[in-house]
Amino acid sequence: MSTAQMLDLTDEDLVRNAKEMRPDVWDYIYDTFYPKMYRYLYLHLEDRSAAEDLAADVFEQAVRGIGRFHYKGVPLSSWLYRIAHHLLVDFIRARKRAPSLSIENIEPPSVARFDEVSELRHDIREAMSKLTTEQRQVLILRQFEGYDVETTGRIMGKKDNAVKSLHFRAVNSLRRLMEGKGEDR
Amino acid sequence: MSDKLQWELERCLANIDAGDPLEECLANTGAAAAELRPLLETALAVRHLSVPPERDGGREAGRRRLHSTLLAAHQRPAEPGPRPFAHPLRAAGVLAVIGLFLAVGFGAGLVRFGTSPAEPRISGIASSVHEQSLVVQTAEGPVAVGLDESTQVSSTSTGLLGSPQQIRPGSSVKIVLEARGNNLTATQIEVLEESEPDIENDIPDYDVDFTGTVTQVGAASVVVRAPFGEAMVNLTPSSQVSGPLAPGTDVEVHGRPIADGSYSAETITVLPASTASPQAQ
Repeated sequence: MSTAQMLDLTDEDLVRNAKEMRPDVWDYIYDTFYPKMYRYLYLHLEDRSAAEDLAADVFEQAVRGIGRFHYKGVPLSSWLYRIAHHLLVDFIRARKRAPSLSIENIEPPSVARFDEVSELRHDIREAMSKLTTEQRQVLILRQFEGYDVETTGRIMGKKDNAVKSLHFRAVNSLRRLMEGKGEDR
Repeated sequence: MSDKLQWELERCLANIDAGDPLEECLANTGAAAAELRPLLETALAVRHLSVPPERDGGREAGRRRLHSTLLAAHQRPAEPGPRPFAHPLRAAGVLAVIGLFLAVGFGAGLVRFGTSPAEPRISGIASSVHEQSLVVQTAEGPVAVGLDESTQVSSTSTGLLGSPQQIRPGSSVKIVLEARGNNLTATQIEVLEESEPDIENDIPDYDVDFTGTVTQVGAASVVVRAPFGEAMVNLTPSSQVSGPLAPGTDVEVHGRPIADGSYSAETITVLPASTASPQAQ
């Protein structure tokens, strides 16, 4: 099946073909969703190597689990995000149990990088790292990835009102953390 | 108060997404504007985060792992939803399917093991070649195998080939695989003389894919220069072509191989300039 034909497939068709373990279909799924998974994981972890590894893990788990995925209108991307989040939580737990710094994971400082990253971005990152995983998740999905309340709810397994409430608390906490940062300066 | 603020935050963000300026949204919120402004600015600031690009090879390494997982999934019965041995009849059915799979697979030589069970071999038809993986059509269905710099490719007709990308889609192949960690990678690929009946007979209909650059355009065919060489691609009344074809156009061809070595196009997708695979020849 060509890329052009894949574009015409509905999510339901895509899932059906994926269950047949067709490499061309999985290549298409991988190319379509890998960048989203990588971005999502990077924004949580701030570690490019770990984000890449976990993004690849998402698709391995998806292949192993596709047989149990029953399409009921929930987009494939939501399912992949949920896998990514479970992997992320496990990774963070494991890292807390055995904190270590791998030399290869440390991004070398560069003039270009330093210039590119504004003070604001730096402050947001620092403040976001102090939020709960759920608060960070809702901010990334809604404000960075631009998903609406309904889609965010599907990904997080929450009802719309719970998403709105969590989002509000996350924004409020982030604002307080950033204000504190401003006062420190 | 926080319920109202929450509601106003959602409403303003939706309006901003629809193109309204921040100040206009705040102007409509009355007394809540002073409290709402820092919340809105904070939420919008998250959109300014940046993510560094993936490292070279990071995505391809992940793809190789994906293909190995797919290959492993092909080599074992799919993970079932409910537990298969929860019922005696179901257990008997599952065992019968496994037995049939092994009997057919080993009997036909489609799946066999050398001296080490870590080195499975497969035979089939190469249907598409990627930078780090190869899709092979077997009697059990398509499987993907990993490729790396150590993969050796030989041809029974022309001797050693330079790279897997020189394998012509539609060729019969025999592949020795090696388990490396969680990955299964092709260590040796033997491209056989065309039309080896022992491989081709049991393989269901399959399609091939390749990319290349159009070199000639005829009334009912085009010639595409692909990494494996020149390919004659025949156009039929049902062929779908996504754009004008002219010499120099990069295309992705999806179709069926024909016995004379040409291809019958199902779709030809015109690619943006410079996206076709690098030409090996």
